[in-house]
Amino acid sequence: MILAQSILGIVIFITQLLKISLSKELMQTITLITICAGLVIILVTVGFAVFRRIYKRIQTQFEAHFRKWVAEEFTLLAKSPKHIVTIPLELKAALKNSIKRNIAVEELLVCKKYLKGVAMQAAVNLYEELDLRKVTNKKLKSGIWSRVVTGIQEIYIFDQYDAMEQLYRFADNSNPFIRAEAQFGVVNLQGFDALRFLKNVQNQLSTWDQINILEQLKLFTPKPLDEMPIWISSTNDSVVLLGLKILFEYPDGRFYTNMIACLDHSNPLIRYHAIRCCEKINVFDTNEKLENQYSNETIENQLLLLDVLMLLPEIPGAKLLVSLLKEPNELIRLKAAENIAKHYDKGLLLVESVEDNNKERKAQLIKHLQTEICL
Amino acid sequence: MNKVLIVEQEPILMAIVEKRLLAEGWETAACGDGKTARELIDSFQPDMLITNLLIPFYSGKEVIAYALEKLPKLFIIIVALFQQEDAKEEHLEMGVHTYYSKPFDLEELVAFIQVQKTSSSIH
Repeated sequence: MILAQSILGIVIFITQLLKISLSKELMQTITLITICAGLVIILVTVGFAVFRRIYKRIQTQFEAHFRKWVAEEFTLLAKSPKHIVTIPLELKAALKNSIKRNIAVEELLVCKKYLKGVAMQAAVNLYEELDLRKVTNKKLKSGIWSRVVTGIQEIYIFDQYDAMEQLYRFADNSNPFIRAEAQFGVVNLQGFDALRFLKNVQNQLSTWDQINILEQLKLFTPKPLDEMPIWISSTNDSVVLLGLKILFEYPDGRFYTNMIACLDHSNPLIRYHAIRCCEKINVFDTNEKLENQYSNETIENQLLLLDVLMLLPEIPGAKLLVSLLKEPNELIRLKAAENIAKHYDKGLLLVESVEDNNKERKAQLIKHLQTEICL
Repeated sequence: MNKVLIVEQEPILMAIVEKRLLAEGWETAACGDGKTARELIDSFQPDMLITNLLIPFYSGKEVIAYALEKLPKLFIIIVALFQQEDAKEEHLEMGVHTYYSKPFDLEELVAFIQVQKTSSSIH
């Protein structure tokens, strides 16, 4: 009613405008074109508003109807586990509409995300019985990356294991959002077994992608990482980094040699993570290897290396550590002194014996070692 | 104990919990925001409150505080996404009886609610 009144008002307004123009003999082509263009814009805007209103109404009505049906089905299933879901003809007909199918998927996604047990499984069953996988498959084939990402999310949230191969293909997609979601999805579904995608990944995994994968793995029981040598010798630096991060979280002595080989890598970040892994996987001469590595490293790596030496059971050689007490970098001096004090019986005396022109600084260092290390 | 108020922002979860409790013989009222929840606490006078924490207008915590002020004997259950363990303790100290972290088992929640109903009727 309001809409009809608005359109009528616009028409009357334009007619009046034309009358004025004609009466004053100012009716020119350009005026007419402007008025027509204005009318078209108004009609398009009104049409869009009407469409949105109708869409919203359909959406609200269907949402309420669908929620009621799902709630009833869940209750019937809870009351009688042998209950067979019957899809009303009305709902079947409604689901032929793509808007309504998408609404149904979104509603069931909420159930699957926030419920556990019987109700969660019921959400998955309804997704399958309503044949909503078709909606997901359509999204996976879309040319719009955001739709593909949504499709991938639906696959792993609804535990659609039969779509694993599709997800594996997406795991090395050129679009970073698609591949990140697919990598997360495969790990979400298959845990450690899903890491097999790493040997085929050509594109980079961002630090955030790596964190997400590591977090997902925490939800699964660890399994032997047989492909670790392939990952940490990959030409893709991000795969090597993720491999080393996984190795740090789930140490496996079988890969010690492969891990030590990473100390020769040209990427300092990879060397950083290899040094970090030495804390968890080490043998009798790891400290010696790290000491030899020291001079090839960046400051950040040197600091980490000194931290790792502190944690290793073997005593590091005094020669390197004593020489570091004369380093200009204060943190390096501190960490070297801590190593000496921790590993040597007369470490404190050794640190005191090294000359330092700044007496106050040296006194502070000794005090620190006495309170923090020697106690 | 017969009347339960459900406050949940996700309409489908609200509908499922409400329907499930109706089937168990509860008299229910449900809403998706803190403002309506406060109104329902006054008008519906529930015996039990099941609430989420992240709800519009007033937070779940504010709704709980209001509910306890109006109905000190109200039995309160939180069903929410807890990010921090501290938050759970804080709410228990406030007077909340128990909490369920999302994702939650609907049947476990219903069973617990039924136990409370039975024990309250015995007392």
